[in-house]
Amino acid sequence: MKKWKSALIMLSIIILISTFLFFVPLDGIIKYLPILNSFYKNTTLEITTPNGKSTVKIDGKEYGETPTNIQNLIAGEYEIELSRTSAVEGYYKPHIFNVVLTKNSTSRINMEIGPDDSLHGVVLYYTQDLIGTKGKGKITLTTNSENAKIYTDDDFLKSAPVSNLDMNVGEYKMTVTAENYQDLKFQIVVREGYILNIKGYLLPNPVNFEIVPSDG
Amino acid sequence: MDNTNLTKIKGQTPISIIVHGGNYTSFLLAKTLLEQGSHVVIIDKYTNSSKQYFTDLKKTGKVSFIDFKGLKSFYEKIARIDYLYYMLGQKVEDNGHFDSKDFLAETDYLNSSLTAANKYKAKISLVTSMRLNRELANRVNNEVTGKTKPYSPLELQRYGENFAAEFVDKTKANLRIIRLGTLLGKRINNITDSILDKLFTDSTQKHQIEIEGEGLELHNLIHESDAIYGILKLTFTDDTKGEVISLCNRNDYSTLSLAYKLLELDVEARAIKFVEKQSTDTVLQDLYVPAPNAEQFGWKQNVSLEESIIEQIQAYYEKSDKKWDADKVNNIKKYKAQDNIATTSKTKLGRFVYNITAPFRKLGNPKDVISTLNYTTILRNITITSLSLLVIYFLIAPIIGITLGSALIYKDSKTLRDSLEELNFDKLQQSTSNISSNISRVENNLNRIYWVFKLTNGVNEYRNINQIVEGTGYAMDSAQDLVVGLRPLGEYIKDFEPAVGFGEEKQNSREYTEYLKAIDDNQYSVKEGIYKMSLAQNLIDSVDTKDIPKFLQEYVLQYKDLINDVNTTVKPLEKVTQFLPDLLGVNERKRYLILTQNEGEIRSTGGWISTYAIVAIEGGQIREMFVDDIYNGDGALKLQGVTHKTPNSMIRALADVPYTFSLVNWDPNLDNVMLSAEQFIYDLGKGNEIDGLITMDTLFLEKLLDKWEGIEVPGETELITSSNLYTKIFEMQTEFMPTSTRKSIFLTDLTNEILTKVLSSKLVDYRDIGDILEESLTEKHIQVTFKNSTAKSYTDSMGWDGNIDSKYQNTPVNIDWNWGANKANLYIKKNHTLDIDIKDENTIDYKYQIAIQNDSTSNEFPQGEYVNYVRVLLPSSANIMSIKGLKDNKYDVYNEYGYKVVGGWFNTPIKETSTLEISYRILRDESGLSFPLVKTDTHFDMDINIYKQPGSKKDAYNLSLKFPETWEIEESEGMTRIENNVNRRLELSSDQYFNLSWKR
Repeated sequence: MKKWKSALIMLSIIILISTFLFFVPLDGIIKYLPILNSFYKNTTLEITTPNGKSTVKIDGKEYGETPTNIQNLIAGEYEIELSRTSAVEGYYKPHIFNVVLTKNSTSRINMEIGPDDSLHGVVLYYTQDLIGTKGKGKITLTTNSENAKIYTDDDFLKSAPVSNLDMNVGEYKMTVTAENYQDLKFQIVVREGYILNIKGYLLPNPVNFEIVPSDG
Repeated sequence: MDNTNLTKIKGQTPISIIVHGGNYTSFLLAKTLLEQGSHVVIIDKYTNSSKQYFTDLKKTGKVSFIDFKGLKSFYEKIARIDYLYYMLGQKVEDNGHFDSKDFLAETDYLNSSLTAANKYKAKISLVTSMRLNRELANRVNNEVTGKTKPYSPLELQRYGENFAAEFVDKTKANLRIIRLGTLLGKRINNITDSILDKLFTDSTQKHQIEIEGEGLELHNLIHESDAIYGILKLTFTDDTKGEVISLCNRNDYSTLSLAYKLLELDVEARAIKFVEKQSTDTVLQDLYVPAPNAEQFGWKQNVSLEESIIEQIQAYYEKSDKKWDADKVNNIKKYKAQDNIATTSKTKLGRFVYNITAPFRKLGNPKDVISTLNYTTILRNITITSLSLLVIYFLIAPIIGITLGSALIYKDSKTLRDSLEELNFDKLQQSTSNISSNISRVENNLNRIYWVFKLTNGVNEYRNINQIVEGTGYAMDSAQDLVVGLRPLGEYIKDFEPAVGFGEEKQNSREYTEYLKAIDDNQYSVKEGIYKMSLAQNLIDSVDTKDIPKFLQEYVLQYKDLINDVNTTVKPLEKVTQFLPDLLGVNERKRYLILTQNEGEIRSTGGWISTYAIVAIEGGQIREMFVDDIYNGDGALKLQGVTHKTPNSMIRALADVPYTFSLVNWDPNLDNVMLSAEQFIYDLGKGNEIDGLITMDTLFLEKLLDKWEGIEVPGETELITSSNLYTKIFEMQTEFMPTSTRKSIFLTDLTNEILTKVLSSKLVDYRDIGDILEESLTEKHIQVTFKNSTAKSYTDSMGWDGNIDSKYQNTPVNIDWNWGANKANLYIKKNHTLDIDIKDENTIDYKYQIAIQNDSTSNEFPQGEYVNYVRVLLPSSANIMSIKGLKDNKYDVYNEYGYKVVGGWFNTPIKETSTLEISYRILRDESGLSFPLVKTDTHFDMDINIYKQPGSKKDAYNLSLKFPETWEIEESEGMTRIENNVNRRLELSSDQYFNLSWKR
């Protein structure tokens, strides 16, 4: 009888601990503890907006103008709002990008902002990959255009979108092309144990109209 | 002692009654009970010897004394009894003789005590003498000694035990019989066993120990502290209920062996002397079988026999005023006092708390703590704890976590489905947030057991499962973003109250600008949601089901389909949220032209126009609705003298027929019709511009009527349903020329009623007609186009605008124009045959046949000859090789809409069949980029897009394609392959697309 009681108590304790660990992941607490949170603050966020300056807001808080390099934000997901400054108020719409900052990594936004929804550039950030292969990292790439093609160092890689594609670690020159869109070129670094998330924004090509005479 | 105090004792203080409590054994028992916090009641005769014990006990704790005279009234008054110790053995050993009165009195005391104790469900112990029980057994078994004397101690004890046993049988009382061995101890001056008493007396006072007989009598001994501990333990344990137990040391000892032990202990005696036995009742053979020993019930002997004998010797020395140096005796272990014989005062919770706080109490004596520290034990405990935590964290907790997470996700997904149907956004947001959090937790837990998969060579399974979990995580994040992004739209749909109504219905004039602006503002959430959904679809689609456990494979495949469907559904939302606010008039009023077409008399965009309507929307609310007969419009413009330039192709076909509003749909491209119609609308004074054009044919109206089971139309006596619709239409339009002003008040009124019903419904009610709308858009019974470029691009991509895009250049496009002023299209059957012959990579021949069978039986309206001006649109670079079947073999060939158009009259009289055939060739050199056969490094690819004219029925279409024999076809989905031919028979209910690919 006593043995059964003890076993039941032990089982209850295990279930209680497991339930606690399920709802309260240790990682989520540690990164907010003093001293220990310094291990989670080693993040960098670089934002550049070619051909213009933009004000930067991160989760509603202002962080000045581009180009900017923000360091030591706690690892996690952030909403970055870029509003291009212009003499004419309201000419450019504010744009919001969701970026994940991972400790010991650099995230980057390089975005040329045009009127309306015209964007040309790339958002890059790393997330941890716990099941990666040695000597390899992964990339996930999506674009705003249909039927885009991805080239690395001028060699065709795959058609977009790609998810968790294995690549050898190292630096690459990426080019994303799509019919009726301008090519997007940027550098990437593939790291072991990380997934590099790439969101590409391609600007549509300007349209030329040719007038053809009609007999009708 | 005032016995009424016993009713005021607190519930947690146990009440213990000791009957025959005025002896040393009972004294020890009572003292122990008092130390443990019990309230003890001693029942005995108040004598000089018992008085001494009572006085000592009073100093110890709460004790009451009751004489036997007051026994019965005591039992009546007492509020509670928790324990009863009936010390019968002490009684019978102390008193050697009983008369009948004593016997009866004792039985009465026993009966009263047992009855009273059982009334309060007390635990009862009847303590008897093991020595007397052995003596009784030997007498009974020995024929020489024979029966016992009546009213003797043996008989009294026997009676007491039998009575107790019967009492248990009858009442199921919680009673046990404890046969106590002979007590030894430092305060026992006279051992109740006379033989042993003589042994100890001789050993301490004489030079030799005298033993009567051979000294083979057996004795059961027990130390006094063991005895008290044993009585209490056996009484408290429920396992002893109904048992007879021997409470003594496990071994019994003979007189001779005890004598030898005494000699070993440096006593006065130095030898043993055997003398003749005086008594005649010698037991020849001891056949006594004792009851189970108390050790079987958890009792342990703590004091060794040697220690007991030493203490007893000391007592006898003190009794004879002699000194005995016990320290001379070496290697005797000291016994420990029983601290925790019983913890009757603590409840389970109290005991638990006591154990928990034990370490803190120990800290009060740091020296004791340090001295008892065992580093090996500490290290072992730390190791075990660490290992346990590791096992829990890396194995057990993840498994439990994954199970728990999956259950929570399943539960929340049900809530999600219900919330979606109710458009309850708060619940939706909560559900998606919960599911997202739980998926993230499941993913964390899955990561923690990666090592298990690695050890069991299941890395591939892990990757695939992880991919599914990761993909689902993205899907849920997407759902969260979509809920946020689409919430304003959903709330608009839910809250919308139309400003349009029937008759005197109360009309709402509320605007919904804030919802539309919010849709605009939340676009980034929708984009983010769609991005994540595409990630999810990508991840889950790439899962290799072969690496998934078999029992899950079916579910994974279903899940893949689900995600693909969801992704396909949400993808268009990005564009929809971009243009919808503008279409609904977020910034300014938007006007839309609606044309009702009758496909029974086919025209370029679907049918003869009977009715036009203008609907204006501003701030998400309908602000205007105007419906009129198209011929009223024509008439008004004619009166004003307004004319419009007739398109050249129309002049070619219809000669001098003026370009009126009713003929605005000459151009098969809806965009062009919209631009042309805008001028008419402006001239009619119905608005400066129109922002979109919507056409619907009577087949669509018929489907709506079928769904609604009819509608009331002013001026009609009966309900208009799908069954009588065409009859009504035909009634109104008899004996007209095509250019006649054919007013259709009925169709106008019907259109008005239908539009009112649709526009006065809450948007949520559109779910009922959603299927009809979707089907009609696909089959071109409804067409839409807008000026908003994003909306236009969207409708174009969906094929809803009916425009003849450049992609249709790969196959000929057939546009009929019924100019017979009848509904012959309801009576014809049409068959298309297209033979494509790829001669080589640069040359393709086409042969296109249209066969029309007119099943009209008479020329009476609505039947009649099918008078049809047909236009066949070919690629602009087509080299026409032959045209057969047009009337008088006359036709026009010209360029329009980016095509080469072959136009001519292709009429079919009643009950006849006509065939039109056009053959043409296209060459790569002449076609440039528009050549249908695309050449890549490795393949030839060809897209075949077949255009269905809006308003046409489900014509039969036979497609066949021939290619060079040397080519190896790789892709021909949807087509039947025979050698170097592929073909397909289909019903042209909507535009069709095929893709073919050959390896070079």
